[in-house]
Amino acid sequence: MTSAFIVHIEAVKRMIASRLAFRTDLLLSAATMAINESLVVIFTIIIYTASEGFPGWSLPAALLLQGTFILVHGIGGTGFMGVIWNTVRKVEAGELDLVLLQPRSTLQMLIATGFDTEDIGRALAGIATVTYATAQLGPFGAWAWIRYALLLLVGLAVLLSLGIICSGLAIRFVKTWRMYEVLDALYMLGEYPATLQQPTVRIVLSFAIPIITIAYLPASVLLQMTVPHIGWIIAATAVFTLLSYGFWHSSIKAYASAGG
Amino acid sequence: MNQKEGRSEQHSILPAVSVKNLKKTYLTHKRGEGLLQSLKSFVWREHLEIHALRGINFSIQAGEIIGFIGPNGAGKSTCLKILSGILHPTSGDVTVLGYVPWKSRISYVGHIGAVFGQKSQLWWDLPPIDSFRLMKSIYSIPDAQYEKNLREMVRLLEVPEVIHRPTRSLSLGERMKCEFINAMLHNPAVVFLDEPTIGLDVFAKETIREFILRWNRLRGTTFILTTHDLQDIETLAQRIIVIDHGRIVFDNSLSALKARLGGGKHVRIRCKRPIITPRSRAVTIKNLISREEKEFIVDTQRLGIGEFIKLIGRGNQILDMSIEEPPIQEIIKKVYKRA
Ligand SMILES: Nc1ncnc2c1ncn2[C@@H]1O[C@H](COP(=O)(O)OP(=O)(O)O)[C@@H](O)[C@H]1O
Ligand SMILES: [Mg+2]
Repeated sequence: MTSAFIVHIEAVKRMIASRLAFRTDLLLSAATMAINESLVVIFTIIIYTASEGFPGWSLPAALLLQGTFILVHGIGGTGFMGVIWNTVRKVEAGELDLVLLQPRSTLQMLIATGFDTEDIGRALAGIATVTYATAQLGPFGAWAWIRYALLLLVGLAVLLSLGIICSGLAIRFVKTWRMYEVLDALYMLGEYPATLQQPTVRIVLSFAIPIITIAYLPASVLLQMTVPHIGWIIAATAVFTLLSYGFWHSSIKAYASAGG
Repeated sequence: MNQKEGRSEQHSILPAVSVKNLKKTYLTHKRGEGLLQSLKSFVWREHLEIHALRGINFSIQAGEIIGFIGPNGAGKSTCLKILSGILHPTSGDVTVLGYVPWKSRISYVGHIGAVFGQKSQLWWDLPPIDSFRLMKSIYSIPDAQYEKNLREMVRLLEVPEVIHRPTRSLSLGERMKCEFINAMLHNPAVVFLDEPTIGLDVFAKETIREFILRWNRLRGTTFILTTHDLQDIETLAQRIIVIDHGRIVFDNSLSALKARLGGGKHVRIRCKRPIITPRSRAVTIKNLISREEKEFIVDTQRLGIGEFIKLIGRGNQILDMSIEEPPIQEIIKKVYKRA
């Protein structure tokens, strides 16, 4: 267990070092990401002040929701969502074989070597937004913060499960179904109706469901809205995470018996 | 750790590798070109079975160096991938070091190493030494063992400075040497090498061959390599397994192969005057360099080399002569043709 943790840290250190080899690249991409996310927040503020606002939501409450989402997205993006592109890249290059040669959990190695420094900027923007919003809404007691943190973890677990599922899909599709070639062909079409390519559309599509768990639940604790059945939510998330791992495991099995 | 002693004990009892009736069939499907065809094959796919291994048998003793050869697509890489636990076979029994590779993968792969000439296990933007240190924690290698192995391999492979330069700036030869170090720091008992010398210059090839031989002799490490470089086979392999279309067509030493195919000797002769070719069915002309210089192939099973020299010395005044083994390419070509 401890040695698995050490391996994880060692791999992450190398990912950071790899990015540090291009120092300006690291700083620039993280800063760009932070500015990007801040712009979204500023945009919310502008819309809010220029209009009637969102019914039922004060400005700080809306910012808290948004900040919480950005924070979860940032932490997940840094720590484990890189597993998706990392899997796609490794499967395409036939390098998944090399990961399978290591006497470690293959999924863990894919997560560790998918560490993404770029999203640190996003996490920082999230922290700043949440801090700003809670300063307006607060002060909050320790219990509220504990529950907020707990639900934040639930949000992260949901995001992690999504990442694991996508990684499993990449292993299955790229290798056995060749979905990629179909996707490539579709992307070519997609270049003409430009809307398909718009990031907002894609984000809405890919995060529509989990966004509720990810941001709404933790934020609602601080907004003194009642969160029903926290216990059940945690249990359901745990089941979802386990199922996603089961799916991933069956995918890597299929890979091994289908052939690299 | 006492892991190593435990392993060598095991070696003396069991063969390091045992393969029985191993089969691997890949299931793929035909795919068309372009969007329409891709979409069509997404919905409805025509299945295609590729019999990469059609039931092969062999066993390897600990400490052997085995060369796998065979034309492209013969099934060599498939075989190595199954032996190293990456792929599940369709059927058959395999044990390596007492393990069934595709079961209990994690405990098994700690005892083996692998180098793929076409793929890199090193971190591209970092110096190899950083990759080595990660291997140290991935394999939980004790400090003393790590230092000792690293020092020795760096010396044998002549890469003392190279390991501190970013991998992306290394030449192919330098990188391959580092791939070997990376794959062998944890004292693997069996090492799989899939075309490890591909694309290297002669100097790098020689250093790597020398290294493999040294490590095999000093540590008793078993090496199983595939190659298209027959020089690799001549210098390294104590035994060769020729595989073609998923079947083993030959499994013995190189000299046995030469004997089996009756590989005649190549004799090149230069004379003062035009050469009179001896009349014997055991002698054929391989190369007509000039009227005064010819290369013969002498079938030594029918005509001893001494007899041949006597024969040719009778009518000719020999100025120069060289006798050589047939080049290995010719022998291999014959094997492939027979298969
Ligand atoms: N992942 C795969 N899917 C389908 N067919 C494969 C796959 N890998 C290899 N093959 C086929 O199996 C056969 C043996 O391939 P391989 O073991 O790579 O041969 P070699 O290494 O001797 O060149 C070839 O016909 C190859 O096309
Ligand atoms: Mg091959």
